[in-house]
Amino acid sequence: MIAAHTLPQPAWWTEPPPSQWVEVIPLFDATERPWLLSAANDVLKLATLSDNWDGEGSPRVQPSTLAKAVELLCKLATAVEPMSHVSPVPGGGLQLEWFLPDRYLEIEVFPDGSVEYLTKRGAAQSSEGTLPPEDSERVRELVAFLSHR
Amino acid sequence: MCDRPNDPSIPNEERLWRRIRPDWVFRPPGQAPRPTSAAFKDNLSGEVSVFIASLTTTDTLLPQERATDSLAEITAGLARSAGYKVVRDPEGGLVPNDPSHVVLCPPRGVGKKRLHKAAVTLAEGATWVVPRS
Repeated sequence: MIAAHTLPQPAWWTEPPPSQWVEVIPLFDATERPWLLSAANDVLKLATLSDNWDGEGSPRVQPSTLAKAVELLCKLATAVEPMSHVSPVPGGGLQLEWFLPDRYLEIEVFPDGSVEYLTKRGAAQSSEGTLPPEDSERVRELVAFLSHR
Repeated sequence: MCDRPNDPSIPNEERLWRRIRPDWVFRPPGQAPRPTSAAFKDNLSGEVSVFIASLTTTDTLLPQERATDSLAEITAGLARSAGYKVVRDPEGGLVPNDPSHVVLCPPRGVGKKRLHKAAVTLAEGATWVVPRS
């Protein structure tokens, strides 16, 4: 599920390399979460949109935005519920959505790489906020939101 | 961002039409399709382009080159309840001096971001005028 790597040592390095991991990279595991591959594929289909795809001057979805969205999907991969839909957003960016019987999650990736989310439970209860890349706690909360009925 | 004031000459009951691209329609298996909130966002200006139903036609908004688009309807009152100002914008329509064209402007002080809840309100309150399968 995960892999680790250490930074390569420069030629002048003589000390023993650090023993701790420096980065954890989530890898696809389509057998555990079959929806993940399909969702990532849906995101990458947006790469076919050209400039002015909506007839109102919207720019194409940038590769960096697509990459960020797939990265987010990987982080959410432990969620039980599959992603429902991905849409390009007028003016740039894209959004990922989970439509569930009693709750809703929307994650929007903006062209500048920032990410915001909205959760909604029932008709009235909703909350929104930013999702900084280093905020693993918030990601865990969203996974829990998707997975717990 | 839109600095123009809300136009009270557009009543809350006024029906407003929004063109919906196929990418903005979620089709749950066995259920009716629904527009997603992405259809009611704009990350360039923040303004959402709509048309006054009584001043246009479905054929005008969905010409042959838009044959796969759908048309959804909201009311001006719904947009206002979500915090938008409803503003006439005849120069931004499909043709010059288009009296049917209106833009929904986000509340003052709200940037292009943080409009998720407002956009969801519009999407959930929208009804189909011309749905496409």
